[in-house]
Amino acid sequence: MKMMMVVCITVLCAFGVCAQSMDDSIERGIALHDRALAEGEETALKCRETLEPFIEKNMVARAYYGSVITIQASFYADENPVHSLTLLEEGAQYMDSAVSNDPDNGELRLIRLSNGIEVSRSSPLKRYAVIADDVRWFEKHPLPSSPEDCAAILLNCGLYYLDAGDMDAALDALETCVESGAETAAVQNARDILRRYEE
Amino acid sequence: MCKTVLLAGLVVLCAGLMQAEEAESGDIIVAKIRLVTPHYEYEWTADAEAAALADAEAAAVADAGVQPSAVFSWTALQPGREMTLAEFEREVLRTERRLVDTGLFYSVSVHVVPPRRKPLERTVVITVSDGFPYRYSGGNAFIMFGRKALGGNRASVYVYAGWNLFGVEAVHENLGNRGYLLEATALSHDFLPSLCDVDGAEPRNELALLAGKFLSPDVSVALGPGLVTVADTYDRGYSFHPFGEAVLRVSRFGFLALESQWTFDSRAAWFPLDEVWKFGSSGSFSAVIAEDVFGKTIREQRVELYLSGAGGWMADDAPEALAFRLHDSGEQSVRSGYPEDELTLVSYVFASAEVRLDFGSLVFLSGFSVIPQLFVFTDAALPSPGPDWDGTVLDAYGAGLRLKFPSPVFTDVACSWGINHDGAWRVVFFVQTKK
Repeated sequence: MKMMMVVCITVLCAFGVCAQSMDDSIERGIALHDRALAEGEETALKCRETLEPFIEKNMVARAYYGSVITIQASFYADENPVHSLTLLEEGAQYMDSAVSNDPDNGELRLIRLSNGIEVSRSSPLKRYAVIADDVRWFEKHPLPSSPEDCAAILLNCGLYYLDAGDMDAALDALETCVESGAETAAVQNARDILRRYEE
Repeated sequence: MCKTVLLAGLVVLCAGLMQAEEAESGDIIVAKIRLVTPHYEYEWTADAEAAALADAEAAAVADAGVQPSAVFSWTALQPGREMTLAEFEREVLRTERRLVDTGLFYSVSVHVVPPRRKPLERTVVITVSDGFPYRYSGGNAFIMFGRKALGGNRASVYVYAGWNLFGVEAVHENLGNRGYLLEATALSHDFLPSLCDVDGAEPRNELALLAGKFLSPDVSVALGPGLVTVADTYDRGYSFHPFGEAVLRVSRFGFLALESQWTFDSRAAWFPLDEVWKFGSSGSFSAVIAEDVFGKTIREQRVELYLSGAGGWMADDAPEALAFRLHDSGEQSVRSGYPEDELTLVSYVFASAEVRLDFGSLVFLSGFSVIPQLFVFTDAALPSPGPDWDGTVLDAYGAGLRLKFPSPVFTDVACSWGINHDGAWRVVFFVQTKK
C-alpha cells in the first residue's frame, strides 16, 4: 500500500513538474514572441522552437506560434515577397485553427485580431473577413475585468472599425480604451491615434 | 380640394428642393490634411512649414517610402480650399479610390475627422502603408519587369524582353512635385522573328517622348515628338514616320447611383514626312451592378458592366504602317475570326460591351491570390464610317475567362472565344499589366 502511494505521489509530481515545465516553456515562448519583431529572425526562430512541442495540445501556444510566423514573414517582405506571403498564410492558418478549436477563448481571439489588423495593413493578405468574426465575438461578450486586457481589446476593435471606415465606432472604442485607466502600450497607442483624429 | 392638395404638394416639393439646394451649396473649408505612413506623419495646412515637409520627405527617402507630395498629387483636396459638402465627400471617396488604384500601397484609408468644434472646417486623415513596388508581367512571348515609386515619387520604369518585343518605358508623373509629366518610350516589335525570317514578321520600332501636365488628379495633357520605323521583311528597307502628337487622358471615378469608373484617352498626331494627320480616341465605362452574388461569406464576387468605345481617322492614302489595328490591340480588338488585314483600318468606329462575373478568390503559391472572372462580350467595328461607309460591320460574340492577379502581381490574363455573323471564330489570348 505504501509502495502504491509512493508511486502515485511520484507520478503526480512528475505530471506537476511536466505541466509546470510546459507552462514555463510557453511563457518563455510568448516572451520571445513579444521581442521577435524588435530583435529579428533569430528570436522568431527561437520562439517557434520553444512553442512547437505544445502547439497540438495548447491552443494559446498554437496561436502565438502562428503569430510569430507572421512576424518572421515581415523580415522577408522586401527581399523575398513570395516567401513572405507563404509564411503569412502559414501563420494565419495556425491562428485560425487555434480559434476554431477553442472559439470561446478571448485570448486566442485577441491574438488573431491584433495580428490580423497588422497583417492586413502591411501586406497583400487581407484578413478583415476573418477578424470581423473576432470583433463580433467581443461585441457580444462582456469585457474582461483586467484593465490591461480590456484596453488591448478596445484598441484592436477600434483599429478594425477604422479600417472598416466606421469612424464613430472607432473613435468610441479608442476613447473607451484611453478611459480604461490602464497604463499600457495599447492605451498609449490609442492616445496617439486619437491625436491624429483631432480637428 | 384637389387643386389645394396639388398646390400644397408643390409648395412642399419646392421647399424640399430649396433645402436640398441650400445644403448642396453650403461651403465647407478643407482645414488640414494629415498623412500617416509607417515612416512619417505630416500635417499639410495652408501655412505648413517647409521644414516639416522636408523632414517627411527625408524620412520617406531614407525608408524607401512614398513621399508626401506624391501622395497629395492623387487628391484635389487642398488646405484652404472651399467646396460644397457633396463635392468634398465625393473627392474624399475619389482620393481613396485613386490611391488604391495606384497599387503602390497595401492599405489606404481616407477619413474625415467628425467636426465638433468648427462645423465648417474639415480635417482629412490619409493613412497609407507602402506596398510592393515591383511589377512582373508579360504577354505573348515576352516578359516585363517594372519598378514603380522610384525615389518615393510617381516615377516608374518598365523593361520588356522576349521573342517579339524589346523595349523600355520610363514615366515621371510628378516632376518638381508640381504634376509635370514626362514619358519616354522605345519599343521594338518582331525584331527576332524578322531575323529568323518568320513569315509576315515586320520589325517595327516606336520611339516617343511626351511632356505635359496633370491639370487635375484625373486629367492630363501632353505633347511630344515620336518616330515609327517599319522594315519590310523581304528587302530590309526601312520606312521612317516621324510625328508630333498631343494626348489628353482622363480617368475618373463616379459615385452617382452606381460606383463606376470611366476613362477617356484622345490622341492627335501629325506625320510631316507622310503629310498625314492621325486622330484616335477611346473611352470606357465600368460599373459594379451587383455584389455578394453568392452570399457574403465568399470574397471578391460581383457582376460588372464594362462598356468601351473607340474611333480613329486617317486619310485614305496614309501608309499602312500607321493604320489602326483591331486584330490584337487588347481591349480594342474585334475578337472573332477575321483575318488580320481585314482588321487593319485607316478609319473606324468601335464599340464593345462585356458583362463580367467575378466568382471568388483562389490562392496559389500560398499567399498569392487570383480572382477568376467569366465574361460574355460583343464587339462591333465599322470600317471607314461616314458618307462612304459600305455597310460593313465587323462583329464578334463570345465568352471567356479572365484571371485577375491582384497585388503584388497586377496582371490580368484573358482567354476568349468569339464568333462573327459569318461563323468564323478565333481564340484570343491577352495579357494586360496594370502599371
